[in-house]
Amino acid sequence: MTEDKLQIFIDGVVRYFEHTADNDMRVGTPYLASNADPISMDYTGIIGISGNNKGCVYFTAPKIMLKHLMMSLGEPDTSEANMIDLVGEVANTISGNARRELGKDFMISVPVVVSGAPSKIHLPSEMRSYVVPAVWRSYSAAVVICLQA
Amino acid sequence: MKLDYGKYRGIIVSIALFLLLDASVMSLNFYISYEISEDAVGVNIAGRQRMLSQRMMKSLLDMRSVLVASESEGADITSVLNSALKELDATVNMFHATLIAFDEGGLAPGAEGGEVLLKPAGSGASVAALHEAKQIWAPFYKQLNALQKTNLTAESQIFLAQLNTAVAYGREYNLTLLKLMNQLTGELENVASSKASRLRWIQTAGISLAIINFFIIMFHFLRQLRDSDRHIEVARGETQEILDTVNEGLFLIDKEQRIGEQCSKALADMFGRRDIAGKSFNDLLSGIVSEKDRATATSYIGLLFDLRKKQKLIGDLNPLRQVEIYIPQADGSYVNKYLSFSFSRVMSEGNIIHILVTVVDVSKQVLLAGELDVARAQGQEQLALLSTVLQADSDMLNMFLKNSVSSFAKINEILKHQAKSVPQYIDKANQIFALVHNYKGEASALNLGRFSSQAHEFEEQIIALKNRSELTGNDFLGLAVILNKLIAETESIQDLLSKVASFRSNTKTSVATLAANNGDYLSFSHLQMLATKISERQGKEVEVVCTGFNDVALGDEAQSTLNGLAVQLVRNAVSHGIETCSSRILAGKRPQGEINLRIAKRNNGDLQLVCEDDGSGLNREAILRAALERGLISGEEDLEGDDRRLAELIFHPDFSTRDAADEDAGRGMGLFALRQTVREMGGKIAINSRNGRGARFVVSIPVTALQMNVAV
Repeated sequence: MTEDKLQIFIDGVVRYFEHTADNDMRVGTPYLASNADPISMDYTGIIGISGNNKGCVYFTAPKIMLKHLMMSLGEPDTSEANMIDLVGEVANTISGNARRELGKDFMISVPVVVSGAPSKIHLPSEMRSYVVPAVWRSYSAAVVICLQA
Repeated sequence: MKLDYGKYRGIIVSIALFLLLDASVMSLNFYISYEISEDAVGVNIAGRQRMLSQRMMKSLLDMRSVLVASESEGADITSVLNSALKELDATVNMFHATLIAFDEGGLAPGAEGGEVLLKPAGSGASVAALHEAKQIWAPFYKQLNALQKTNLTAESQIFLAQLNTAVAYGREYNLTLLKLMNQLTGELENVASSKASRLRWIQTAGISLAIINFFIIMFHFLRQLRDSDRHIEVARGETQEILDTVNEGLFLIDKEQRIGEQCSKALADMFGRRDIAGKSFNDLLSGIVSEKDRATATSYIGLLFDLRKKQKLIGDLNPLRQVEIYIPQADGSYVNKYLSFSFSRVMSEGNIIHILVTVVDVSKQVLLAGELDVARAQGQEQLALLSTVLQADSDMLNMFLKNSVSSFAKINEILKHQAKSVPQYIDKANQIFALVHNYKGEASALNLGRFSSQAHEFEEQIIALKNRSELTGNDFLGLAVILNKLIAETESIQDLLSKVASFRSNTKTSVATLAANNGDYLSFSHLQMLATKISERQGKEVEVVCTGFNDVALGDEAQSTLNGLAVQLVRNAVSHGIETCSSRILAGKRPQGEINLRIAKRNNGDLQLVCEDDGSGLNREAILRAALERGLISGEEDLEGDDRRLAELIFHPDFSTRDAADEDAGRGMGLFALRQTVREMGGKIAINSRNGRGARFVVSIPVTALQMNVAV
């Protein structure tokens, strides 16, 4: 997995946060995490990927961040359903960006939102994932990229 | 389309018969009706003969009574008689002409004036009646003609005699003649009536036959139609079954490049839509293949419809032989597939009427081929790795791998720890650099060129990062990628070695045995190798003399740590301490430099690692100059006699006396990395230097740190 390709997924999240009022999303230093112990927060939006590279990319965020994010986007209803929608939207933005940039080599699925970590199907335990922290205000979410070479 | 006459022969013959029958009935009807109308004229004229015979008789009787009356009264009756004669003449002539016409055929005076053509009477009874009438009429006609010719004034007596004769003949035969004319009329009526009756029969028979024919046509052809429909239905059912079952997408394209009405079911799944039949092929491809491919496909199909182009020759031009398509989904996402289109001409009577298109979903094959390529590349990669590591000393290699894993984990932890400011990011980069540099040193010492060059690349990235004016977390992505690559390769080697070890499980030198070894003594011969390698590159000769290495029993981790430190010290001594052979000779020294490396356990339990070389010692001027150039000190700063400050400079991550970096030195990070490791263990470094005589680095590590490492 090349840096350029990983960057496309990070850009997807950055792109989403461009819609927020303060546009103050910072990308933290990316690091590696074993899939045996995946990084996950309250809600996780997963996009499955196959084609030249297989695996998944997911956006995981804590409830509190999603709540504040929704308020910043002018959405007063911070119900769970809306939080799930929001995570799905972020995942969709990542997916859209990736599809636009990588369409030829990638098959990208429709985003699925789950509570907690993605299943083993998405994250083969013998692999590592790239974890890219996405810090917004004082909250930290993450884009996790787990793709076979 | 050519009509198949054989198939429709039955219906054609039946319809022809029907028409023939109708035409025959119609012509007979026409003919007989005509005859009947002629006969009606005949009947009418015959009826008139009856009236004429009576009128003649009445005229004769009238004339005679006029004559008789005139004789007694003496009145002039000439004009009255003349007029009576004239009427008689007209009546006689009409009767005569009509009788002749009935007998021989010919013209007779008509009822409405003019003339009508009569045919000679055909039936026996009428012929007989006419014959008899003619016999009676002939003498009567003579008598009446004679009456006409007699001069009434001059020969009145003769006229009267002739009139009496005629009256007498008339009285005798009048009734017979009337009867005969009645017979003729009746006979003619019978003939006409029989013809009318025949006409009715013919019409009835004709219409009956036509109805029968109609029913035959209807039943026969209804049955045939039903059979034919059933066959068509069966055939269509079979076609549909084939189209529903076949895995390929099948359809026809016409000259206007429109898709036919029948398509295989698989197409719907392939293209994710059901409205394919009747659509234009161009529309089907729209939005799912690139515009270029779509345009090429359209012109390619145009070529296929051109009979002059050989299909075999243009087969290679097929732009859709293997094409990736993106099918839009309801939620706005896409599904990618690889489809293979093939095109065949459908010929009929030497013309291309359609193009049969076969579509196969080859996604699995394409992806499998891709996976095979990856597997092949991985295999080659592993082979290259194996050839790299097999030349290394297995003990040291094992230690190196363990060290690597631990270094990588540390690097990852540093990455994971989030920074908030640029200085924090720089610090992070420096910490990572120190670890990578150690790793590079160890790789280089074991002659693992592949790893040392990867580590070098890693270092390059960190330096590039440090040189950026702005620094964000995202900039560290490249480091994470290269780290992942190093981890993967290290894991790959460990995997390979454990496989190799499983074949050599009983040999003493096996990796598996070594891995389980704890507290063994290690050979540090690789340090000489490292020194030789570096010195050769720099035109130097060095001997590394190790002492005390076998006097202290150490755990794996302690050995690793010690090895890492020794490697850095030797690298530093060779690169920065020992002079080139020529310089040494000029300085009156032996051309071969010497590095003494000692390990000793001190009374307080600390482990002491001493690295002493007989090189040029620390060059105060060169250090200050380099520090000034790199902005680490200001021009005004006076460091004369401040050895502590000088030591700080050489341990600074941005310090180097070299202008350019290479695999051995030049970034000034070697000593920084050394200090980082020592600091982490709570140890300290002391430096002694004598200008032109050499330098001595003394590294002391507290026993607690080593015990901890042993425990780990």
